Amino acid sequence: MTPTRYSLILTTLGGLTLGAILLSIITGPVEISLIDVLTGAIQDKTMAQILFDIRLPRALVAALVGAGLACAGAAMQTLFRNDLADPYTLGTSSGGAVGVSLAIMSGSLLFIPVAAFLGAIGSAFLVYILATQHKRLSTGNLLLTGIAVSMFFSSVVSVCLVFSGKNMHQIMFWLMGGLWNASWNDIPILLIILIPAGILILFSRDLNIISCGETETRTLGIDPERTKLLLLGISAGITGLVVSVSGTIGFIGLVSPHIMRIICGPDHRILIPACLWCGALLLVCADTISRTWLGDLPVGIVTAFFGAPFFLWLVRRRTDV
Amino acid sequence: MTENILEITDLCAGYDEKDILQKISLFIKQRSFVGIIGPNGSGKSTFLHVLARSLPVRTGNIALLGNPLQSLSFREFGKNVGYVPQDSDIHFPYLVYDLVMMGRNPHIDRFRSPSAQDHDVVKKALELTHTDDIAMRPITSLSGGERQRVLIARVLAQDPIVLLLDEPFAHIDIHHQYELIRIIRDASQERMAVIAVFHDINLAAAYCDELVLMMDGKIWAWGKTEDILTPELIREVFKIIPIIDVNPITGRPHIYVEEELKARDGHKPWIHVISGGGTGSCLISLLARSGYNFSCGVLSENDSDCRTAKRYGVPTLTEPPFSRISLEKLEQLREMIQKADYVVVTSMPVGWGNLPNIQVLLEVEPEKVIFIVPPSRPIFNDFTGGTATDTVQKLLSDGAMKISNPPELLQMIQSFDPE
Repeated sequence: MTPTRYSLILTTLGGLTLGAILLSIITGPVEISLIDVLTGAIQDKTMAQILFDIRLPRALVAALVGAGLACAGAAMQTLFRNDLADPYTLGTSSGGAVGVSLAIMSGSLLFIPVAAFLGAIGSAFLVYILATQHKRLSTGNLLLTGIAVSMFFSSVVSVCLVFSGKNMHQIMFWLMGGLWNASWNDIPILLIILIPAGILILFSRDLNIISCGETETRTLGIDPERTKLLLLGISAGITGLVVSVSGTIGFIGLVSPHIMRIICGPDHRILIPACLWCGALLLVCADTISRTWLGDLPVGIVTAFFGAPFFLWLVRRRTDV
Repeated sequence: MTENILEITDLCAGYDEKDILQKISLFIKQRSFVGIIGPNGSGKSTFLHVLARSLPVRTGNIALLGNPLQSLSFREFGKNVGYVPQDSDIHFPYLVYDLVMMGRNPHIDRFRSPSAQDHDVVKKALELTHTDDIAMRPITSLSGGERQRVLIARVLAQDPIVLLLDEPFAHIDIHHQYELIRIIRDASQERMAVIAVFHDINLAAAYCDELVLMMDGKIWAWGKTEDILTPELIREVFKIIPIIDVNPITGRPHIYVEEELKARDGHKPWIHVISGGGTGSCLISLLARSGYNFSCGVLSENDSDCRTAKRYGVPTLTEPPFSRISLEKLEQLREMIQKADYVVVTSMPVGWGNLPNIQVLLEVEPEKVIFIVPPSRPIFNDFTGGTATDTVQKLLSDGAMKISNPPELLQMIQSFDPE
């Protein structure tokens, strides 16, 4: 990977994402002129309110949520050496959902991020432990375990719903994975994910080596068990924080690493930063589409609608090779 | 500083409850090339996995330069020990260059990028293994042999003091095989101890200073290559009958595998073989394996036919190299061919020295003389100005037989003497 290619890819992706955010804040039921936004010539008070209090924070939340899911997905696919791993398929998001449901039920709204964080990490390690047999992680078991754990947690969430009484619609609302009530308050929590994402980038050489096989990791200077647990914890932590804000949104974490591997290759030194941008770009676009043309459908439905067929295409393309 | 780079004492390890490795003790000297051989399931690869720390030590101890292996950080371990697996399952399209650079990982600080020196080391490793022309290709597009060369380049870039190789030459073309093993041997003579599992005993024999013979998770024998490759040890461990010869090019031991010998059968007809110049070796081993009673000669002592006959303990008449057949040996030959039921002559070179071998045939019934002559070849490489060939023509016209290969001989004899 030459430095020029590296910066070219990242600058392009960054530019595209910023462009998407710009486009996102001017589209919607109320049209705002791009020139006005860029020149700061917005006089109307309501206009400014729509722009800065509703659309801009929402676009930024979408970008950060997408970025978090995508880099967690990239790391998980490598750690489990499985193309189909991501926070959604492995039940990490559901774990976070259980945490959030319990927090809402108990009325401790302030602890939602913490609860989601703990739920996600707990779920990730539960899957890791359950899928390990004879001290070896079987990738075949992994997905099945992930699905089982995910279903189990979904049922726990349903139980929570039934017994939640007056909080029910709040949990439902959040579960669907929408960004309706995104606000500036969510931004600080989401900015925290840049720290674990940075750690993932620092460990990108380790991720490269782990992706190349089990036995040689140790002779190449890496403690695979500790590194895996650390990076899995970090990915799950990112997922938890994201889930606490957005609910469970699928396919961004699964599809972004695949697209980026096609464009920039398997090297995590570029893959992780590229995935951050790619996830941001995809979720901003999906949310804008949902908000503008689909009557503000939960964005998780939009990502699944586009993501699932795209993913099927990826799977088929892979087996052709 | 101790001379042993690696000291393994009473090592036990395994995958399930059962210990696969049982009380293994071994000392590896600096700059030595140690081969591990043994049948499948003898624990060779398991042993290497323990040394590479991918399988934990149950009891016993492994010390690298005096320090217990478990006490080393993996970074420190990676600076000292390199490992090349049997084959790799890298399914991500990393560029060869980046993959070889991974070998530098233990040497590069987490917060830094590879230095100019790291790049130089990588380039040198690529050149040494002739992978520099594929350096910018993805590993997934390479053949199995090319991949293996890349993995060896990676471990050379890693520059360890102990190199563990798990049958890394198995999928490599023969000329690359020898080239790579020579590169590794040179590296071992310069700075590193190499411990390699070999499937091919002869490859191990050609390059290793020491061999470790493993069976049932134990070290059966361990020592200098020449001391380990003895017929007794090889037969015990590999359940084959070995013929240990010397590779004429390397001067190192070379093993051939012999089929199970049938017991000599006294009811079978007696055969005498007249051959020379290596033309009878194939026939002699076929007769020996098939349980025939037979004799050979007269042969020159340095003839490979003579060596083959001796190997099977066949009674053989011999003369010193380059001398004529003496009257005494000729008399013994007469006795032998009179006693024999068949006299078989191969398509050999005949000169004045061994001409009596042919002339004496005129004294027996021509019907029991059989010539083995490959199709479209003259009967003899005749250096007697036609005398030998004339003799044979006479025998053939009197009723001697001519066939084209040794198996045909066995068929013919069996059809004459149904058991």
